[in-house]
Amino acid sequence: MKSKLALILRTYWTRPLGLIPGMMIVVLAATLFYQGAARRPDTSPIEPELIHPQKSLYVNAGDTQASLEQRWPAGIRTITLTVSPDHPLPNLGRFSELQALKLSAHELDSEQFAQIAAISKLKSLLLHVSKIPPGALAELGSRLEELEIPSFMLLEHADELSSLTKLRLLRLDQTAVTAEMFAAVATIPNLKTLVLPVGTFVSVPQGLQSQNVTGYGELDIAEAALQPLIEHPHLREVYARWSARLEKNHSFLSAVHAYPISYNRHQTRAVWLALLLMATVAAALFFQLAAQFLMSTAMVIPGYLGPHVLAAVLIVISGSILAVAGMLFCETSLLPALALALFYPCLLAVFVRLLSPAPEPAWIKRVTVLLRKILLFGAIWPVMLVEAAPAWLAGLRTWFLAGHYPVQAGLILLGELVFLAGMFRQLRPIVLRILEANPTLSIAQLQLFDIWGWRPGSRPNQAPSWQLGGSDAPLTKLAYHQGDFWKQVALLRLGNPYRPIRLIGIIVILGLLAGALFNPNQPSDEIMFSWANFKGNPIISFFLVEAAIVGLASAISVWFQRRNSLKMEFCRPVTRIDFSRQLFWGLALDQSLALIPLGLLAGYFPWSAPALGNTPYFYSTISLVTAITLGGYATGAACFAFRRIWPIVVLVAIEFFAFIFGVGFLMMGFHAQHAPLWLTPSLLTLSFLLLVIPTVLFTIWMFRKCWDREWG
Amino acid sequence: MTIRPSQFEIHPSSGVPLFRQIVDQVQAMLAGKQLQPGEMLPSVRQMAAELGVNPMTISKAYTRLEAEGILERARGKGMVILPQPIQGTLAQRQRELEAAMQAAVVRGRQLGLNNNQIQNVLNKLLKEIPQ
Amino acid sequence: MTAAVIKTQGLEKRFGREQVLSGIDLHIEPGQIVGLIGTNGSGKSTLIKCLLGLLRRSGGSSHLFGEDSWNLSAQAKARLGYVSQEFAILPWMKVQAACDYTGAFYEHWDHPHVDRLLTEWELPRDKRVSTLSVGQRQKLAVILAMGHRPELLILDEPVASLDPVARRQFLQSLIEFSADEKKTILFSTHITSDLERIASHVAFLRQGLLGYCGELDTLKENCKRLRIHAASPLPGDLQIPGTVRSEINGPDALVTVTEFHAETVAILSRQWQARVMMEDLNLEEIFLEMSGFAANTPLMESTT
Repeated sequence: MKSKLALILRTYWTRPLGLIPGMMIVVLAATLFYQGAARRPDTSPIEPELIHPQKSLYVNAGDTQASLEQRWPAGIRTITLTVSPDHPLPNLGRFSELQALKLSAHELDSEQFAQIAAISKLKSLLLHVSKIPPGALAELGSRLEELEIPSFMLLEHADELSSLTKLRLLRLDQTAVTAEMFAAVATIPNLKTLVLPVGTFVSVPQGLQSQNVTGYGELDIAEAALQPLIEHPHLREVYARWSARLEKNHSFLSAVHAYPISYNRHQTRAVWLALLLMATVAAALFFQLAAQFLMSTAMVIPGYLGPHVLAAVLIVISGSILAVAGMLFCETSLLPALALALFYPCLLAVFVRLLSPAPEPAWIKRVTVLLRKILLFGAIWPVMLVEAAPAWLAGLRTWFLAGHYPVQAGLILLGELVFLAGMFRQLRPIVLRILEANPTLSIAQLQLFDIWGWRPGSRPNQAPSWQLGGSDAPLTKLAYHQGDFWKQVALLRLGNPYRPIRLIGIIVILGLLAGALFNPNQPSDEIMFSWANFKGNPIISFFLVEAAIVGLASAISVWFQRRNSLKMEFCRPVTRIDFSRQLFWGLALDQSLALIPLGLLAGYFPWSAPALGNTPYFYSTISLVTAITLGGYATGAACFAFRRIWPIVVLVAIEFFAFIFGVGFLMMGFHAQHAPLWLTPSLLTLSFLLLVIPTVLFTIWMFRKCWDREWG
Repeated sequence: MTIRPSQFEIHPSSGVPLFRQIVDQVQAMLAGKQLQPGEMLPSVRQMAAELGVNPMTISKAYTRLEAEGILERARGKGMVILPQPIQGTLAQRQRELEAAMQAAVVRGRQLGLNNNQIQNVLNKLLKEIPQ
Repeated sequence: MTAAVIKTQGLEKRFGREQVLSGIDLHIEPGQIVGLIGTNGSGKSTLIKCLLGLLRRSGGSSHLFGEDSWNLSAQAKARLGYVSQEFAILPWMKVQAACDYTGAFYEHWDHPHVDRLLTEWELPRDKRVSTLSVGQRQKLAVILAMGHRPELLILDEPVASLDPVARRQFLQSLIEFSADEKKTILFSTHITSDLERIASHVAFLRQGLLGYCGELDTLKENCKRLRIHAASPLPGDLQIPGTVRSEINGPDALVTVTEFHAETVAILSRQWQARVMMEDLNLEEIFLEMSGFAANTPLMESTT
């Protein structure tokens, strides 16, 4: 048994399908451990914002009034100002669209404040001043939704707080926090979120139980002081840097959620790397198992299955050990680390289950096929979006990784283990069922790649997959079209059982339904079904992107499989160059349908959040994604240009990841508002140009290769 | 009266070319009185279809036979067997037969037959194949 | 002189360092039915693919209907039909649909003819192509290649997977096809018995070179195996013109010749008082002899 095991393990690194992932794993593991070793503090803020001037384009109005009006038209939405005797407050009245104002000044008098109050659409006000006139807040009160003031000012203007009827988010800035402050906060009628940014340090109120100072910047306060918050009818979330004691018992605020103020980027990066590592392990495992098991001899040779399954289990375990160790290094607690490590192997188990022929009735089969496609192309998203998340989700994530949800983590882990164990034990019957339905199966014919969703022999006369169409009706009335290039292209495309509109349409509709149900970006009490969920919903964007990816990949897959018969089709009356042209246009037309969801996405963003959607950053990212999509066409055309399979697979894989990264940027920038600040529009435009030109050249090269290609 | 293609026996896998087999068989049938002058041979197409051979082979055979004067192409009707004139002087014909019979006689000597025994065999054959 | 349908001169094909075709001079006139025989790996499929422009030749020239093979025009391709060894027809279509689909690519598709063949060869019209057996798929491939009534039919091992009944049916249809004198067929096979029925010409392909290329009948007439029994031992260097293979064992010899002359027998019988028995060889035996694989025939049958 041992020698057999060694033999099998050796095949893992002699096959390219095992070797390449292996190398990736080594690189990832090295990066992972480097992450843990290089321990600089690297925290990123979580705090939620409505419209934060820092995160959107702004004007620094150290400029004079004149230059201000010259540079930016009246439609500006956010302004950051520093007011001093040298730079007085400019006339803000002409900015009728102004929604957010960040002011730094020593003190504001009532005249200046009146100007501010005159801004009709003002929703968000950030005051870094030491003194404002009394009654000022009350004046603004009925409009403000977000307010940031120094905490001592809270006490000074405590009586005005109750007039802040629309205020949902309050951020107390950088000074000591006392129990009276909480009491004052509690008077704000509709407050939903309270944020106490880093820098808040402890004060020990008199008369209440005092705690020791446990470190700079941590809020360590008696529960009694927080009582007014707990009793507040609308308060949902409090973000602060809690002390270790409070953290451990994180539900101390009972109905109100307590979240951390920041998260450790090392930790999330480590998690990201670990997930990627396990995803690679899962992928390698899948290909190895497919190659080893999907031949009829596998079922016949005695003692074949045992060592192979054991080898697979060993691989999963060793991968997980690496991943978990890496995460532990970066201060993740054990249970969550284990649960995360087994996430991708568990997805693999789910996928394998979906692969084996489902029992009747037919609708289960169809759902299975659809799920499989979504799973295959969507599995990479959890990795990409680890960092991008709305504030409350990021908070939950931090708590989870710190180990504050042991029960949930434990349950998830248990579930994963059950799934995995199920897959390994049931491997034999699953493979048997797959083989029975397809006696002459090879990897390329796996349903995985068989986008037609239908296997020979299983149900002989069943039409190809319903979501792809392919009924025979249009074929009986074909007529010869001589010389008409476009009709020839259409004829060629008819030979594929591919009707993508149905497929893409279904995914988009699913997305709309899911999005209507749940919008993680909305304040937490409005998450469930409401019309407001349609705007700015990352789930809808996710499904739109999924639809685009599935459309693009389906087109490539369909033409990839058509290669087999192109040999014969080349002998039909068509010249070499016409044939190449027809193929390329056929692929382009098929892929262009996948652009519809991308187009919807491009319209969705500006509609959801005009502030963000109409910025140069947005447009340049869209063009970047378009350029990458063009790259998708170029790599898809590799199907026709190359005879061997591996260049096509490599190119398509590269394109796939590039697409995910590009769209990832877009989605992060829009939904999670954590767009990397170094990604300026000019950089994006430059990258776009750098991408488009090589893409076009590459496409031309592919065309020439196809033209010159031996079809035999 | 037309002879039917099924009366021809051809072996595609023998060493003898197909067209030669047909030519030989027609000649044998003529000699054996199974074919009389004035009878029709089946058309090229018919022969080819029923025997399962290339029509060009049949056509070649017919051309050969035509060249040897055994057949004639009758317009609109097909191939007709011609009456076979006797060709050559008696001496010539006898010389031809001598060549053919030499091998047989040599064989007879090898088998150790004497003149009488060989003649008996000859008579037997002459009785079997009528004139 | 009629224009040659297929004409190659010095056609070469190299795969990496392996030279598969080393200079083929093939000349096929309209109306000929040419059988291409060769051992597996001798380059039959490669030759055919080079003729059709599916593979790029490494040297020499190749012309089909007078056009260069690599860049055949649409009109030239409309006049030819090709059945390959790996016939990949779109597996998701039904048989009738596959016929209609293929027909839409051709200007002169003979629907009734295709219909008739489908019925005659008993192909179920409503079954998906992937559910057909191998033999049925091969038949379908042949139908699809003949539906547009091409002038030239190129078949690459067309009957390899057919049962004897199907093979006979296929040959019948080929005979029908070739009844029109202008139609040409080139087919490569290693089932020689089929060739003997219908081929007018044969070409032997051996190690990338064309051996014999000419009429089948002439080949059969000229190729004979001589069994010689002489009175005295024969010399070891006995030279009989046109010898392909000779085995000399004392007074007995077994010689295969490709150009048989009647004088040879006379000379042999005179010079060495030899008795010569001539054997006709069928195509399979000829091929074996010419490929250098001697059939293990005993030198002398028991005679005395």
